[in-house]
Amino acid sequence: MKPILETIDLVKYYGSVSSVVKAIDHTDLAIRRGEFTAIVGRSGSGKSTLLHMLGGLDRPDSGKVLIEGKDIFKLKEERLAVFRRRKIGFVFQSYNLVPSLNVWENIVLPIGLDGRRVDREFVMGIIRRIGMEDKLHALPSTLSGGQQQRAAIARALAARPAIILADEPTGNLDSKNELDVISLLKSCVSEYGQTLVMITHDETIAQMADRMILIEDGKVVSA
Amino acid sequence: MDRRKLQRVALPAGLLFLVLLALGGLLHTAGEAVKEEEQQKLGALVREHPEYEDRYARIMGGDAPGDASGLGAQILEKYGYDTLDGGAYRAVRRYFFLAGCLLAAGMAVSALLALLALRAQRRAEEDRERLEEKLRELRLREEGTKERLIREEQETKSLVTDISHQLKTPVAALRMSLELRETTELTEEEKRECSGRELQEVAKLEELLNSFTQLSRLEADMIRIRPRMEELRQTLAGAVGAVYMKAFRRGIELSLEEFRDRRLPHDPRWTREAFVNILDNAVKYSPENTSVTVRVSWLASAVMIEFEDQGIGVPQEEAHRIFQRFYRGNARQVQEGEGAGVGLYLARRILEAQGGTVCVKRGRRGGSNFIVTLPYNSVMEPVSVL
Repeated sequence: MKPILETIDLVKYYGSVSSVVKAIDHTDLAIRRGEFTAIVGRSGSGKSTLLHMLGGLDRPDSGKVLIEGKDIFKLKEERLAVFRRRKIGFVFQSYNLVPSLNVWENIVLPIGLDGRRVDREFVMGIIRRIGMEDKLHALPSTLSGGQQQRAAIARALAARPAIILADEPTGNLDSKNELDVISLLKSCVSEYGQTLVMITHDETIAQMADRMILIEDGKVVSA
Repeated sequence: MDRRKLQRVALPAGLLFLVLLALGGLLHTAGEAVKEEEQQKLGALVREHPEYEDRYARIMGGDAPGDASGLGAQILEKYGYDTLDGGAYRAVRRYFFLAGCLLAAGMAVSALLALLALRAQRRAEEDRERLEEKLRELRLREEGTKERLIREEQETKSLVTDISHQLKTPVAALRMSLELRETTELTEEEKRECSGRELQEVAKLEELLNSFTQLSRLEADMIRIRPRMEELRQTLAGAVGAVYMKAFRRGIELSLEEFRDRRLPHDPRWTREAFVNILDNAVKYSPENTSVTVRVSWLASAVMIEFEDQGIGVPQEEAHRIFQRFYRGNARQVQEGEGAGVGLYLARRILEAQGGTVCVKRGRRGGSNFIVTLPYNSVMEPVSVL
């Protein structure tokens, strides 16, 4: 079967001619549908850049990113934004919730942006699953880090994207909240049949993945 | 051009045509009005001075001298008439105003129609895109199912290979021992040693067979996990009880720390099996006179159960592999010990089928800490572990 997410000879360099940083150095990856893949590497190994490329947030110097066989960088900026909104959910280390909106509004925001109707029952199912039924009207600033990240996960899941890209989602959390968030992400993704790609430097998290990809100096060392 | 597009174009175009037609009608009426007014004036003048009838007719008929306009304006001004209020002009102005209104309304309506049509078109396009996307997703899901079936078949084949491979070692040892007995004169002591070894190998075979039975039922989709709301304590205590004697015989203290009990969706029987496997593993690789502690904490969306031992630990580079089927650690104690590399794999599959996770960390007092999570709200329908 065709992989849901694929990179072909992806390259991204930063810096000037004299001091080039090879953030992504001719990388080939293939991620299967429904798989939980952990991308592991030390900080500065180019994993975040790779995730940004996978999500179409940043353009490569050369090479391709295929999502369901479609070369996403061939799309015009506007079409790419729509494609990204429908296909990909992002979970960042810094949560990125809108501070002036409450939990419910934050969660359904991407659905509204896409001009779709909110499937209340489905979204409430997710909210029950993350254990935040009683926090629907709370503003992000009144929540703990773990709660904010769970709301961010619900936001990513609610739009039913095929792929969830998570960049160090537990980087700011203590070990108990970390475990809670990771197990939540993992089981939700498998319940809803989604594909999860997670960046982490934590080997414990990587254990829970179906597959681990090790990145060093912009190259895939082992997969 | 397809029919819908034709429809979209035809409507504004038809409207425009109607507006133009009405405009033409208006102009014609305006001309008629001017004509009538001129005739009226001619009639009035002739009635006043019938003797100039022919001259008036010529003038009104279009034969007026060009320089007479200035004089006419002067006369009108002299008697206090505004030129703009003049008869014919008033009629023309009225009709032009009407025409302007009509034109504006027509244009507004056409624009509105065009806008609506455009929006409908865009919506239709979006709908089509969404449907296509859905179709593609369905097709991909079908492909996924096919691929899973193929993978399952391959897995079953590799399972058979793996099992026969696992059985080879004890069977070979058994055969060697038996042959030795056949071919060589042995002392009583040697015979006893042989018997002891044979019994050991048979026990190993039995254990392997047990694991394999479970494993094959799991792989053949015969284990169905049926989560229901049950207290966690009972399940956990059952698992601790099952391993307790084994730990006791080896001088290992197995303790379950006090915790507030709570009901949680899980399959008690199979979850207990998963816990037993984890505990069994901890006891197996712990030296004598150490302890294994089970600790429960309630997280925000899941329960966390820690199984912490003071055993040999799991090297970091092996951590993600110990939950794989038939994986056995490289450490000497693991290689020499009994086991087929099934227990932890089975535990992981059972827990994940219920939305849970399992991982291993380095323990706080050396050894390893196996950490299990099970969610408070998970899928409540029975799930096959495959």
